[in-house]
Amino acid sequence: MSAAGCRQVWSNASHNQKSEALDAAYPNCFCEEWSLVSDAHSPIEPAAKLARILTTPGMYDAGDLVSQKLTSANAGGLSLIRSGASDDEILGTITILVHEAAEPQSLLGAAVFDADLVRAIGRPDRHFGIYHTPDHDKQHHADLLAVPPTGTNSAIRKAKSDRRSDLKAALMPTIIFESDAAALLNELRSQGI
Amino acid sequence: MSFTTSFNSSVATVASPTDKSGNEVAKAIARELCRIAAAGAQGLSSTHFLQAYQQPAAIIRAMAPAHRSAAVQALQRLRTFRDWRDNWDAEGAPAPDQGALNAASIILGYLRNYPIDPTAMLDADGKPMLILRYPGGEGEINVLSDATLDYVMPIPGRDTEYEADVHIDAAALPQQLQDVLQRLQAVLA
Repeated sequence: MSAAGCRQVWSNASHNQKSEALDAAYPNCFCEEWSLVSDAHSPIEPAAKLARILTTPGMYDAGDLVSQKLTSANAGGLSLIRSGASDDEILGTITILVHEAAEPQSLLGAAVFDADLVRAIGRPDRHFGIYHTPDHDKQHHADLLAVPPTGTNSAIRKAKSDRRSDLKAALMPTIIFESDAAALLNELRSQGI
Repeated sequence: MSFTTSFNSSVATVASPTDKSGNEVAKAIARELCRIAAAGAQGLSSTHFLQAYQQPAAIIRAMAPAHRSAAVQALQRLRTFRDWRDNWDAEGAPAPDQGALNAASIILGYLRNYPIDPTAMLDADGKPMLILRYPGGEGEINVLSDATLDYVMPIPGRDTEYEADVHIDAAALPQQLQDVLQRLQAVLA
């Protein structure tokens, strides 16, 4: 069964190899069709609302998304919150990102977007996939993963950089700036999260 | 001359208070070189050290004044990264690669006389990235280990130049990168 196969690949891959492992076993974002948590959950639909909590300076600095942070899409994935997350899940995510990083972070806000905005980048090819993924006890967690480019090492290097730029360009207009956690929570709710 | 003697002599040249050309960058880089040496020269061969440290004073003196401040900040940031552990980003990233950090410090020293403001960051794999900002573009040098780097350099009005698996020679900036930066400099002039 493909759902079970996708979940097995996800759970067996080391944190920084999720993108490569998933694509090697099931290319072209095949595993988006299932939840990678369990059959009890639905996959991420095209119109699903998602939020990426943003902190500064780690994720956003000098008026721009930090593109190096987006390299997570090529490794373990960029963590997202999908709609339906509880208040505790959202506020807990904010607390971890602000307080548990190696250097002090402040809450900046969140990028809020439909799954299809990211999935459309590069069409008709697929450059990024969005999957419902496990993350400890969170039930509404998703990961944005890059599809590994092919070609020579140099071509791969350039493609990753170009695609990160495309991802950044897509996400920038979706950012909600709100540095108060409770106010951001309200804003996320009003946006359909 | 032994490696240690030669190395200490080179560092002393840079760090010496009698070095009239000493400036903030010189001091910062000298401190960094001393720190790397004290750490046991992790990730770099003694040959690399000798090659790199016989000329840092000249490198620093030649650095364009306008870009010194950014270089100092970038160097200090690379230094900060050394203490970071797994999960430094609170999202599961691995601890920074110490050998790659050493190499990035040296590469940073060679980015002299170019019209760029370097910034040091880490990618999701804990590898240092030197971001080079200039009018009309932003280049990246990703230091993958003590021995190799990748770069992507958009040249305003021209194609993006890029290369993977470039060998790091501690005696000089890799030739490919020198060529690209010279072309960039010509475009920006």
